[in-house]
Amino acid sequence: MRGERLTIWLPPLASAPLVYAAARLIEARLGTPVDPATVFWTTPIALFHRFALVGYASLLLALVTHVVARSHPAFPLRAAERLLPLSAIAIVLQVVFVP
Amino acid sequence: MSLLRFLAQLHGHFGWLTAAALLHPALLLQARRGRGVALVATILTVSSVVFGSALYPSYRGAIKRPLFLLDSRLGWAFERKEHLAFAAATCALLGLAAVELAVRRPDERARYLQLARRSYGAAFVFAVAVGLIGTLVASVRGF
Repeated sequence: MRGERLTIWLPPLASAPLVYAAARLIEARLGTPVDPATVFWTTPIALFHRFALVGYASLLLALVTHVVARSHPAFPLRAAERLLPLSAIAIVLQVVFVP
Repeated sequence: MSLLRFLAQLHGHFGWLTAAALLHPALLLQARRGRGVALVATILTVSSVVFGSALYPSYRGAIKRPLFLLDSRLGWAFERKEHLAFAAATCALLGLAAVELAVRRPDERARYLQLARRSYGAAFVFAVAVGLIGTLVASVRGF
């Protein structure tokens, strides 16, 4: 056992900002923009749901990684290496365009 | 001085300390010796995010509306802060996992360490952005 359980969490962690950005985008599409008079959001997806979506996506991705890693042991590290820059770019774009 | 004001000031200082702590593993990480430093930096990052999340309801009740009415760009800047803080926390956690794997898997140590350095580097950049936005808002409107 040399960290097999830990490796399956690399892709979910690397993709978490990407999933978060997507969840925020969905929230912005479904919800109403901020009302300057009240400054309270009235979106169907609240902050809790955003985190919940990231959590569910992470669990799903961990499961997929676990399955793929059985036949391709190098997959988790390679996926995390690819996903990290994508995630960083996605969260920056989301922060700039959908705050 | 109110307790909220004190906690917000503490959160600000804590946030900058976090950014400084993240810079070390981003630049000087080595597998065994860097394990403790990486753990401390990650705990600081996650704690700062939890601390900020705990303060957020008070911010929403007392500051958000006046801040938006004062300058909507500042209000939106503060909203951006929470997203960047989340990214900083997840990148730090990824860095910690990569450091742990670098120790457990010597055959792929270099690649795991490189992933860890990149993760902590990204977390540092996000943390600095969060710190700048927080300081900017706090200098205009606080508890």
